[in-house]
Amino acid sequence: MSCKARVLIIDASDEARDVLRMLLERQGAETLEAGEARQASEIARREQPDVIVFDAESDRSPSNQATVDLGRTASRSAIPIVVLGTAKRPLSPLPTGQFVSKPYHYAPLIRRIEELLGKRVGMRSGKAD
Amino acid sequence: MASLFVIQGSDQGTRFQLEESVHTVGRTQNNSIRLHDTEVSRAHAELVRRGDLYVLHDLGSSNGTYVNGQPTTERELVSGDQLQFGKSLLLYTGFVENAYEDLADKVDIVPRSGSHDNSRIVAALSQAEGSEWLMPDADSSSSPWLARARGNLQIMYRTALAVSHTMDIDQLLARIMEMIFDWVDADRGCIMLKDAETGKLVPKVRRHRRGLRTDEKITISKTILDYVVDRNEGVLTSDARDDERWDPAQSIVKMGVREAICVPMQGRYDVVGVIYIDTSITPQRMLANQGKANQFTEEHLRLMIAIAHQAALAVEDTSYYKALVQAERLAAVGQTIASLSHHIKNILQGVRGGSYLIELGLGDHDRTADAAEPDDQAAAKAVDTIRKGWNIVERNQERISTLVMDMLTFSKEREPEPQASNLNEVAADVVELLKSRAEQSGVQLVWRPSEAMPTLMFDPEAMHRAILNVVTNAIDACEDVPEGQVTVSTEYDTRGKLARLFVQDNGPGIAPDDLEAIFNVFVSRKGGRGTGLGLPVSRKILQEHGGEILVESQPGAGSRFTLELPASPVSVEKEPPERMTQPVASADLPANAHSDSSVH
Repeated sequence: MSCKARVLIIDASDEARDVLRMLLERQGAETLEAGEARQASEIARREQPDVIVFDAESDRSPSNQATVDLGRTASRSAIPIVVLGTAKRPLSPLPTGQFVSKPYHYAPLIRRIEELLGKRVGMRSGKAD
Repeated sequence: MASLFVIQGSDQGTRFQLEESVHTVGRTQNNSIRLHDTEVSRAHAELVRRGDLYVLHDLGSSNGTYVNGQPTTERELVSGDQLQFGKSLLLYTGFVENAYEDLADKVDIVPRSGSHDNSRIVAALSQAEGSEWLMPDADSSSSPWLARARGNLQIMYRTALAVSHTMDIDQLLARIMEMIFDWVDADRGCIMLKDAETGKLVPKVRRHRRGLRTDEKITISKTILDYVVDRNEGVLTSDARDDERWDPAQSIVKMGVREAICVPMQGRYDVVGVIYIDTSITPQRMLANQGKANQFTEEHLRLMIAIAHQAALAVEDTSYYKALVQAERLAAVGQTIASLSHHIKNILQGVRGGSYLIELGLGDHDRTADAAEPDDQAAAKAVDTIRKGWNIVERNQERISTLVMDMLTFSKEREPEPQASNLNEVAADVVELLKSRAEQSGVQLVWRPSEAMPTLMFDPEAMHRAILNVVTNAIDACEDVPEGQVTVSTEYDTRGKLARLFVQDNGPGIAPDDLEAIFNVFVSRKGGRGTGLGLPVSRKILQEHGGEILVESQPGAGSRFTLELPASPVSVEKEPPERMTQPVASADLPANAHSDSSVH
């Protein structure tokens, strides 16, 4: 198993995904991408990323079912989620979620993701030792 | 003169005078009665004058012509007929002489001599007297009861008139107060309305008996007001000391109110205010009246309640109407702001992403420059990061410019500025402009201009925007489709005198349920990317040119948008100045001698 931290990015905008990917790769993380929340839960289950960055607007499923699914998958594996959104919505379907309001600045967002990754990767390498 | 007045539809408020022998009704510019209504056919109907009336013919319109709700193919119109074309409803008013003629057949005016009519005048009443028919009799020949009843009827009649004639609350209340004073012998009066927010009574109108000092403050007992509002009962107070209901609060006594009427203004839903009148009787007047102190009676009270009810209904109507208009306006403004700030926020997010990349790239670049050993690979990487960031910034700059242009086009009450232009050239510009975007999205953009596209009169800038929005949508729709293809083509329909531009894509198509909504402003199926302005703007532009946008879509197979532009041929004086450079030999001919005959 590679020790590289892995981040799942879920954002409807290609551009936003591109930017995040480039920034995270600079930090030495690996990225997985999904353009729609619907695919996200499945990818998260299969790939078990260390952190999920989730744009709340990428969920276009009726009554936000995809968000609920994603939240379940994430909490089962205790994967932290960074939620990017316009208005602070109740995070109840995302128990492991942390809210970042749009429009956000990239530097603090990356720092936050790194912090979460640090914890997770630290935990994992601790187990591996 | 006969006329058609649009009472419903996009042209609401427009009046078309009918003076020609034939008027045509349709969507395109060449109609004398042009309706900006998508459900009206290009040549929908015609009105043909026959003597002093017009006959309406439907010209095989797709949605039919209706008169007074009945489908009609041909019909003689009479004043008051309501004509429906598409979604537009028009009121027909015929010739005035026409109306006289009709009635003249029904009513005979005959000279007195030799007539069969032996009528003579038994009573005459002037106009002024007639309108005062409800006034109490000046001479007391009729009974006082009847006189009073007439007076009461009169004031109710006048209240009803006042209420129905004004939408201005303050003016209405002033008139009601004035009428009350004309009718009853009061010293002071006041109308108070409940403040919508605080629920407190706020005086709106006050009045004094003539001769009374008007700078004197009206003091009204709060006890009375509370009683009236809380119980929704009108009260008549006469000598407060005798009325135990007021006993605990001595306010009335102190103010020396002898008689007062205070009634609630009960509307349909709520008490909206109170009307208060009072009169104080001095001991001198008591003596003069021989101990008869009563100015106000229960009859006054009853009538006051009726008047107050009328006034309350009017107050409610006006304030609900105002509130409704205000609420609608606020809702629309709110929706607009929410939608626009959403798009601007997304654009800003893009700009931040791009500029952050540039910032990082510049930092990297500085480090490679400062490094002891030149590292070409690192330098190239830094430049690459900067370039990527710059591309994102540029794209978002383009987005904000599109948003602003669409907003301007949509908001402006603009008339197209037609000039001799070629639809092929305008469309080719758009295709050229969108080439790189299509490439980026992996979509093949195909351009198939019609060979026989004449120069027409239209606003090339506006049409550019209209086409741009539709083609951009088509490219976006094909983004996730393998081998996405967008074909832009044109044709000129000589028979229909119509230029058409087709935008065909092989994207996912539009669900039938969504088809209706795609032209609604701020409705976007592109999620965060769309402004919801593109198609409404395109449609507005086409409609301003008398044209239309049509959509056919098959879910799973793609959509085809057709932009129909009715041909307004270029007139001779506006034609491009090629004629000026003609051989000298033909210069002695009249300038338009060889042009087509339709000019003459």
